[in-house]
Amino acid sequence: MIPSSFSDPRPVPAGTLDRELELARLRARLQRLAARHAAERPPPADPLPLESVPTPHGSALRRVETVRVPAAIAAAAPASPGTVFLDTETTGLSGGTGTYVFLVGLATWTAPRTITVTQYFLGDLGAEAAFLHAVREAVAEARALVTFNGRTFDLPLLETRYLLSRAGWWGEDLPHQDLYPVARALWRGRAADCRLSTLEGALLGIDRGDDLPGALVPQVYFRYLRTGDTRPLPRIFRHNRWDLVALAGLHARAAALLDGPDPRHDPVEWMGAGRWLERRAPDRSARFYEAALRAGLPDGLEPGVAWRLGWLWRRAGRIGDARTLWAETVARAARPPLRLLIDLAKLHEHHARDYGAALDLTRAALGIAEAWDLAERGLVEALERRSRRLTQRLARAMAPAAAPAPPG
Amino acid sequence: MAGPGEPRVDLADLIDRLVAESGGAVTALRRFPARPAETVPIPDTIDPNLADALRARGVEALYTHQARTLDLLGKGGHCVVVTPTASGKTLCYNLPVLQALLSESATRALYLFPTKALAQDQLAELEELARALPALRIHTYDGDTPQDARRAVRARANVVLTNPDMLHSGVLPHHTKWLGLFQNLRYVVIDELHTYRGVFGSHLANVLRRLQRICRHYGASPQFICTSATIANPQELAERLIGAPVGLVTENGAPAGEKVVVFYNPPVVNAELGIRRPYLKEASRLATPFLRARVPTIVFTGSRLAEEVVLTDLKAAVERAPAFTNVIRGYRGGYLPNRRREVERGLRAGDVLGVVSTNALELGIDIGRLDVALLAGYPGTVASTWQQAGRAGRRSGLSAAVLVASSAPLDQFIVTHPDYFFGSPPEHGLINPDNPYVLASHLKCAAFELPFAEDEPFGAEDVGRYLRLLEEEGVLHRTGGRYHWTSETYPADHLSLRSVASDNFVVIDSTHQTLEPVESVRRLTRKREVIAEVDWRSAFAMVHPKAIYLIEGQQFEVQELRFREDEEKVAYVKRVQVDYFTDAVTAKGVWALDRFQAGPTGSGTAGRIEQGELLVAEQVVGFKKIKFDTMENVGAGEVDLPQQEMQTSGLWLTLRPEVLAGISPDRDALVDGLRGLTYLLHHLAPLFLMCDVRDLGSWLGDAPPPDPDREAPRGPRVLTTERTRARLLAAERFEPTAYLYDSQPGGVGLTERLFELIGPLLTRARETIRTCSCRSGCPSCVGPVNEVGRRAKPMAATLLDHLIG
Repeated sequence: MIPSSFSDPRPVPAGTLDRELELARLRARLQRLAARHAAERPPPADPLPLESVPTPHGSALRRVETVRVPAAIAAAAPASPGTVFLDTETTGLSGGTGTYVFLVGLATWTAPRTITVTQYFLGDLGAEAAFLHAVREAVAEARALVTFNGRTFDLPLLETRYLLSRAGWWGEDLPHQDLYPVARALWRGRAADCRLSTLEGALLGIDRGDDLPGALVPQVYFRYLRTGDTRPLPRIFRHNRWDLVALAGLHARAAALLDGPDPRHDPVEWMGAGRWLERRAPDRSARFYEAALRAGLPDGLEPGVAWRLGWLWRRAGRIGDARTLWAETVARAARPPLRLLIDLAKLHEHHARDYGAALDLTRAALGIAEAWDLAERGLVEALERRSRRLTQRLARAMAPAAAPAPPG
Repeated sequence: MAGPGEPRVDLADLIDRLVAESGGAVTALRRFPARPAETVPIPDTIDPNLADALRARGVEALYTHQARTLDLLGKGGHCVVVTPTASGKTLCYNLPVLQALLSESATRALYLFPTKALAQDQLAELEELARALPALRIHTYDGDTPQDARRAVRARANVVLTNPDMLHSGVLPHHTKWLGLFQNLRYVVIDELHTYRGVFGSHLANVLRRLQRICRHYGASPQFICTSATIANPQELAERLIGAPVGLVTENGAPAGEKVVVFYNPPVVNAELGIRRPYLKEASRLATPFLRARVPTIVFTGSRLAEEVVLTDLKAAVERAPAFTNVIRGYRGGYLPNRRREVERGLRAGDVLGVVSTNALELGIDIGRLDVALLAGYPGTVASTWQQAGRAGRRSGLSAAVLVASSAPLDQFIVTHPDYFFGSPPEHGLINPDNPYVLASHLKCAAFELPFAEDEPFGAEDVGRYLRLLEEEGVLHRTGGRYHWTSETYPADHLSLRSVASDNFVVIDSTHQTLEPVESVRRLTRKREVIAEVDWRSAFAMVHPKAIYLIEGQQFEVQELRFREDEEKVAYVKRVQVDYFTDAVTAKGVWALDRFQAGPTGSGTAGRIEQGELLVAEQVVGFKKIKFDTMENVGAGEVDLPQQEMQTSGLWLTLRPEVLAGISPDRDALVDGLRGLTYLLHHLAPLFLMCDVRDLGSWLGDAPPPDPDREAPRGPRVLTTERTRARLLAAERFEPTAYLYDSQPGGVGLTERLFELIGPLLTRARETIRTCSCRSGCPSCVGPVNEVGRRAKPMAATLLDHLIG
């Protein structure tokens, strides 16, 4: 704070300040701080390959395209006619009211190998009301929406745009499926990561060739806004179209996969289907796990699947089967996971009363836990307690001429 | 706590004894008489449920300042209430807000507090009052709000308690998610208004412009209710922050008991060297009898280290008796929230008898009422001193505040010139919302939030040219008469309202650490025990390797400090028991990197002023080990830490060596004069810039090389203050240079503007020295005489004559 002795009583001289000079300095500074935009030439007057759609707020821009997809992508049973795939292009990833959605791509299956793609384009940031209106009209007939990561990205951004324009948000009324979490469950083991561009290559064999990288999309759009240069815009449309085709293709493949188990798919995908269904449909989940184990899984994956399947059986009351499965798995596995040893030991102890087998497993588990030097003392202590208890029980059970063992 | 039956006269006795036994160390004792309550009945217009809730909490009538606030708001205006600590100021805003909520349930209110801790505290208070009322949804919204709770808060909360930083980066840029709030926003409460001064306040003013803009978009025009500690210009500050006329409420209707303020200067123990008894020791010694007599006492210290030192001492002195186990606690910023809440609760409940705190408790956190406030060291400003002293005081009965001076020059000046302190009005809070850098940054945020119409107002300034400038830069795009945000970035992320970096260090107790698990099973991850946080700026001084880090008296030795950019910022510490603490030794240096403008300082050629880009570096180079009981220096160590560097803009003043030689052959005296001059310019400049003293830094160092652009940086070497002086005195070419710079990294244009104003600044400086009634230097001119020396004042005046020419 400023001591009053300094501030009284004379006012600070004003007027010596040159506002223009200050502004010039600010300008210089901004120029130093920000990267300069290269000098841009006047726009070539290429007309956009778009049609105009009338709305009460002026006209909106649209293009419609029918895409014949390769056999690998084709849907055996196309999604129901009201299912609309949606993907947006935006001016950034950060969200908030300053991020515009400037392209909304919508796609539907119109035949088993045909996708119709409709793209709405925001040609002028001042014409957002018409753009949003046209998009709303386009989804008016839709019965379900499918996106890739739309729950956290596309839809909240669209909602923001509608609210900002004081146009009601339609997303709440439309059933929405985000394929991203499904894809993660199904294909985590099949591809390096679960981005759309990775999955489409690994599963559908799509090669986009010279596609515009998503990260460059905003810059291309900003350049168009500043200069009116429409030439690179078709690359954005194409990029968005590929996203939609990949989305529709993956959706079809997920649907077919979850419909199985079907020998056209890989056992690793069955494992994924089992995981996705584990809580949603335990019976079907178990069928996928069983099929995967029968068909054989790559090294290291099998004990985990057996552990999961055993639990599904346990919950379904098939405790004996679970015990057999786990015991066989432990016997076969080179390095059985700790959780499998512990859970099998519990089954042996509490259900089969086979204290000897339970003790062996507990000791094996203890060996692993200690070797890892886990700082989590709780686990080691619990295993030690179990081990002591089992030793006592074993001693009691072996004691000659004793009364029947007390109920555990 | 003293029970109701125990006579308060105890405290009077204790103070008498303190004075009697001080042997002249008490330099002032002022009594402030008791003041009766001034109340008015609870108005009939207040909702009966609310009136009942008030009565249930013992509020039978309103203090006059509360009633007056209600009146002003009833007329539709904004208001600022200035009241001391614990005078029922929160009711000034809670009352109208709750009243509005009860009469119209869709109503919303937004509360802004400078810190998260204050918001937490006020949440508790407001919930208490609202408990008896129909369901109201009151929530905090800040960095600590869990992600999954945020949606519910946004959609439903009637009252949202947050801070300016969150409003700036988390709320305004997402205003569509806050539709319900903005459409129905009736009141905005700004608590602790006086904290929003200088560059921070200038930022807040712009955040509020953005807030009002969003409100207009949704058709709301909220009223602002501000509260402020006593400063010289609360109304002006509020009006500049809000950009509208604000009604002022200053009368305080709350009763107060008699209060005694004592100044205490620790006795001299070595007359030859002028060494006084260590003030921290004295502070805990003086606090001990109060605590032993169970008088609730707070000790304020100037730093975190001092807080821990006093706490350790006081615990040792008081807690030995079984009845006093754990009655004394510490409190400061680095403590984790849980620990702080525990102390606050303990104080209110009376389980905690004494608390040793940094200025963290100076703000309005509710800790109940205490009887004695002991200030270990002068807090630096008149306003802060009264704030801290105000922590002691009951509605009736005696309370006391004792200022124990350190040997720092400013403290010594204050304690030996009590009339200067008691005669000084509190300080001014200044802001400049139209600072071009601040304004331009917020215009970006505003355009991100809503497209900016070409002729749209934003404060008083014509912002059209800024918008055109930003369009040239490519971040805005104009179409249809409006400027739209056209950048991928989120501008609020690139603009911090406070100059402190947010990258905190965590302090981890690794006393019991074992090896990391190789593999994990069902997330068997080791829980790390985080015991404290340290902000980036103080980290190197507080948790350098081998530092003793204290937390509530428990000692930890720093084993390792991880500070590299790609690492998590961590200090690993181990519990130790030693009889010393460590005090870091810091070195500093300032270098010119680039020169933008230059000119003479006046009509002659004696002085030269230049303005440009500076590198300001500080480095913790070592530490001293200081024994707890005796405060003796018992050792030292060196540490190898990187320099903390900041690039910013600054200006510097140099007098030609020939001129200096002509003034005096005594280099020592000239350096004294230049130090005094630097102090004076640093403290005067904020007035010309409408900023705060802390927004600027100053330094007296070497002259920059003739052509910094060409010359390669000479391996910048930082030096301690004494070494810098020695170097100046021994230099071949004696050309000491006074630097003033922007404290905000990168600068916000303060010194560019000051360059233009150098003439009036120097003239005012000369007048200030001429008219200052002190004999040879005081905090109001060239600095306290004991810091700058007796020769500084006349020498500074001579130097100014030459600079002005």
